[in-house]
Amino acid sequence: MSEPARKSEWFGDATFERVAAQLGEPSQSGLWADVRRRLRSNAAARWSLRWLFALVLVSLLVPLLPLPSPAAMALDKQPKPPVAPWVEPYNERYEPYYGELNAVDTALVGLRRKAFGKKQTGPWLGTDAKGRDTLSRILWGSRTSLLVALFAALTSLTVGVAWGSVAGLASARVDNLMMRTVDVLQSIPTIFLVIFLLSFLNAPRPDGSPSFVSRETVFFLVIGAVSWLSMARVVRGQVLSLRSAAFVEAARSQGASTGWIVRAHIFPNVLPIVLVYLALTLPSVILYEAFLSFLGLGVESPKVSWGVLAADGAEAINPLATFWWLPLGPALAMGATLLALGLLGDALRDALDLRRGER
Amino acid sequence: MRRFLLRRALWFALTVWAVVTISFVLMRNVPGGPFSAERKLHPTVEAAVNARYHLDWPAWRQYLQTLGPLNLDEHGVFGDRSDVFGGILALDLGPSLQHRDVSVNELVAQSLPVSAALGAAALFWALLLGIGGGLVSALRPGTALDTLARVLSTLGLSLPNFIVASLLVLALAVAVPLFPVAGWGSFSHLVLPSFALGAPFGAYVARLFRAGLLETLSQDYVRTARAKGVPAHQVVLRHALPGALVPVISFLGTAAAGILTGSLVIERIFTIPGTGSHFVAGALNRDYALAMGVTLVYTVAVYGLNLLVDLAYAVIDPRVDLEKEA
Amino acid sequence: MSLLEVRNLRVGFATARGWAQAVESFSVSVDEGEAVAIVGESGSGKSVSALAIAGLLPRPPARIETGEVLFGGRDLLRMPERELRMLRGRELGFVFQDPSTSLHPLMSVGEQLEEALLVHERLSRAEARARALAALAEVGIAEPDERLAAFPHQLSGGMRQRVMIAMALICRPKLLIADEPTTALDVTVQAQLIELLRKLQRERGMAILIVTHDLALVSGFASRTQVMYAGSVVESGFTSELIAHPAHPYTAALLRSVPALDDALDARFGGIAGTPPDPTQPLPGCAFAPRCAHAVAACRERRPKLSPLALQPSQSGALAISSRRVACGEATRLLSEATSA
Ligand SMILES: Nc1ncnc2c1ncn2[C@@H]1O[C@H](COP(=O)(O)OP(=O)(O)OP(=O)(O)O)[C@@H](O)[C@H]1O
Ligand code: SF4
Ligand SMILES: [Mg+2]
Repeated sequence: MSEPARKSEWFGDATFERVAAQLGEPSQSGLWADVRRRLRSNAAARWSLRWLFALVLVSLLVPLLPLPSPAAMALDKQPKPPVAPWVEPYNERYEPYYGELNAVDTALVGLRRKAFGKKQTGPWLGTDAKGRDTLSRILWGSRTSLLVALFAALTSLTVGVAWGSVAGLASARVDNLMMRTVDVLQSIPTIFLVIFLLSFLNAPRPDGSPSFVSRETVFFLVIGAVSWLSMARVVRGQVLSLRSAAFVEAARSQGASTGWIVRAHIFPNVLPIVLVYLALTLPSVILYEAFLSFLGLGVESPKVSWGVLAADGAEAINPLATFWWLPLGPALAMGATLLALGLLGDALRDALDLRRGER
Repeated sequence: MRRFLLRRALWFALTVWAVVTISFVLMRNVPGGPFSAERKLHPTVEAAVNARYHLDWPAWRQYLQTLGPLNLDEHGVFGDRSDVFGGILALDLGPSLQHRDVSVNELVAQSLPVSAALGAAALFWALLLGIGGGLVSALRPGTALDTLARVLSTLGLSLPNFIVASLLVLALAVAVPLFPVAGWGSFSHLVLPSFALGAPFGAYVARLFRAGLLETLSQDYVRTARAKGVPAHQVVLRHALPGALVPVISFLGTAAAGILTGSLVIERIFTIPGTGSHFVAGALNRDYALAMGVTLVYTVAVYGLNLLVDLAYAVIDPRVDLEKEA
Repeated sequence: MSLLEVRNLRVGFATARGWAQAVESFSVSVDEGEAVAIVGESGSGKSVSALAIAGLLPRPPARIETGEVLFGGRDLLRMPERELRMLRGRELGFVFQDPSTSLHPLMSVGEQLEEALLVHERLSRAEARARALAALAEVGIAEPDERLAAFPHQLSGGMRQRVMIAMALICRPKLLIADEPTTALDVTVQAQLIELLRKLQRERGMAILIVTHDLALVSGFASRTQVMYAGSVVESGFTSELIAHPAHPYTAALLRSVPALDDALDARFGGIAGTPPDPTQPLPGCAFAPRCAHAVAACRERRPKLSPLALQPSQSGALAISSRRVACGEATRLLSEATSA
């Protein structure tokens, strides 16, 4: 164990360090074809990929779908239970209220209005206490989760990989300094600092002026800030072990340039672990977002996210009146997505044969 | 051993220092911070804040005073000397910025036992589910029972605790009212929240333990034990189990930190008056003293638990040399 | 009657590539106080046979198809696991190939030694400790009381194997099965350990079944030797005679591949050319045929049975071969040619 003890509350850490420990052989030329074949022959991986693909597609195109808008309220006093699609396939109460939309989404919404007019789907998954359609909110909410996942993936792919490779390739002094930084950042119970920071930076100005950075920017900065640390650690470890590997020494002794060694030897051998760790990062970031949104520190209304929906759902549970559809819908959507990512990560590790000990 | 502990202490001090310093700088320098002039505090709180933070002092002096343990306050040094020490290193977390006449120390002292009980119960669930599930899986690999345990563990790993909590409440408190929906005070109040908090970690422990046990069961030294005529149950318990527990134990540090994190959400769902609830309330109501105080308390808890884990690790495995690890 | 009598043991493994016939036909008999060696190349099924005798194979994937293992007149293969367990460690000691993985890394040497005693004999802890101490001293470990508290990783390889031997012998078993007890160690330590085993065997009148792939090592130790190839016994006889006049071409090749036997010319070639057959794809005829210099057409059609060597009385007198069984159709011819040349 490295110093200080692993203790980031990120759930994936223990897993990925085991994975990291198991890596170390140079990749063979046929590796990727092999990996693809093994992934394809894994039913769980196939279904996971299908689900994720469908989810990405739907969340990209959700403004086009004939759904009620996720923010449009109806002043019913009670949440409405789900209505089967064949009972109420659609109604004509569509109201185009979305809050702020970017140009593309505005165009898409415009298209939708041309195509479907005032038609919208019925409350197939019910509505919440403010009369907002649950299905629509879940689908719109998926955008936040996926966006956060994308952002964290990019951060850990750029900052994390760069930081780790530089540390692994640099002199021992620089390496030490860089990794100690990661250590300190990782050994602070990040979530507390994050919440602290978020609430602090989000504080409304007493004079009514807008916060000096938008809440969403802060939110993304914070997610980015914590998502690259583990990746940096893994990449650095892998680069370090590759640097002294026999085949790299051999290439060096034959006069290969550093750039060439990185391209031909280091990069292809770092790639598998980067991929595997990425597959572990995505679900934990989605969880992280949901967690913060759940506490009321994530996206702001009228924007939605799965965490916001889960929090609303949890609040709607009481023994007197059961609004079971409010917690259940987001729970299933999120559970299925996290499950798909988890299964995909496992399948990837199996396919890359990084799990000899864990079968 | 001494070098190991010393190094740990050093890292600990560094972390605490970083948390205190970062929050000191943020609190005092960001517009709209708790001490900015425009901020309106309750007069009682205002008085307590002035007495504790000395906002009229130069920044370095404020910083030293906040950090402690030396009390730069003339009253402390030259007064009745009852409070010669002040600041965070003297274990004084200062007054709450929201609650009148209550210090952060008092709030933590009230709520920590609640959170500790919840956390301990969650850890218990994690170990019970993990060790039990892993054992069943590993002793009968390939059977329906094994498959069931593995499916459950994959599910548990992918469901966040607040979703598990919602589903549990729906099923066991609303649909079939076996347990209270929320609240705190009796044993039955503890069951659902601790389960929801511990189950995801139990899922991971089950995975680790199953893999570990399968590995140790196929080790040569287990065959040696059988060759000695050791009875089957003793082969598992005495020879295979300890090795399989090693990865579980080293995961416990991570699990403990995760359980602390998760308690923020779980305490909120079940309206449990724990430290996590205070932290969230403090963060949302901009009670920075409270939020930072709880952060520090949790930092200490996580460090302490990790230290225990490493010591346990060294006790189980004689090959671990803590001196070398340090 | 002999102490151990194994007849027609047949063991296979269910593997990803199909059924692997690891042991096709294995028989051996060991008398009380006798030392018998089993030799053969890597993968010839020596360990699987030895483990099958003591019921230590992992099942699944292993399955014992046929055979009987008579130990003191009782069939171990048909004995309830509980009774078999009581025999293991008490009457049947086992020493494994690799002492660094066969000792429990998390238990002290003392604990591991005492465990066998506590399982089988009603002893107090103090008595067990005293016995463990004596056992360590007996296998030539200096400062045994200090070693009792040590953990395996604190000992050298040779010392670990001495601990293994002490552990196997602590309940004074009638039979010790040693599966390549010295292979993982360096040469000087190997000789010391073999010497130790020989001494213990003589002092206690204990029977030993020793598995090795180094005939030279056991030549002065085991009175009889069985040669295994591809899961079958291909030749058996008295060790000294076998070394002097191998009848099976495989035995001859095996002897030539051992440099210590002063056959300087052939020693240069090291191992035997070619590889043993794949256990998932058994050959119809003699399993050695693809590698045998003397193979004839008949060899590839019918599998030769292990049967007594049919020599003229004059020949066996000249060669001093008393009791030899060989599984090779050409063995008699080859031996005659060798003697007439
Ligand atoms: N657990 C197992 N699963 C599948 N096949 C096995 C297993 N154990 C042994 N085998 C197969 O059984 C055959 C005989 O192996 P065995 O270990 O008995 O050889 P050996 O003669 O002891 O060789 P060595 O000198 O290397 O110890 C080999 O082909 C091996 O592949
Ligand atoms: S039977 Fe034929 S192939 Fe087999 S060993 Fe004898 S001579 Fe060689
Ligand atoms: Mg062997």
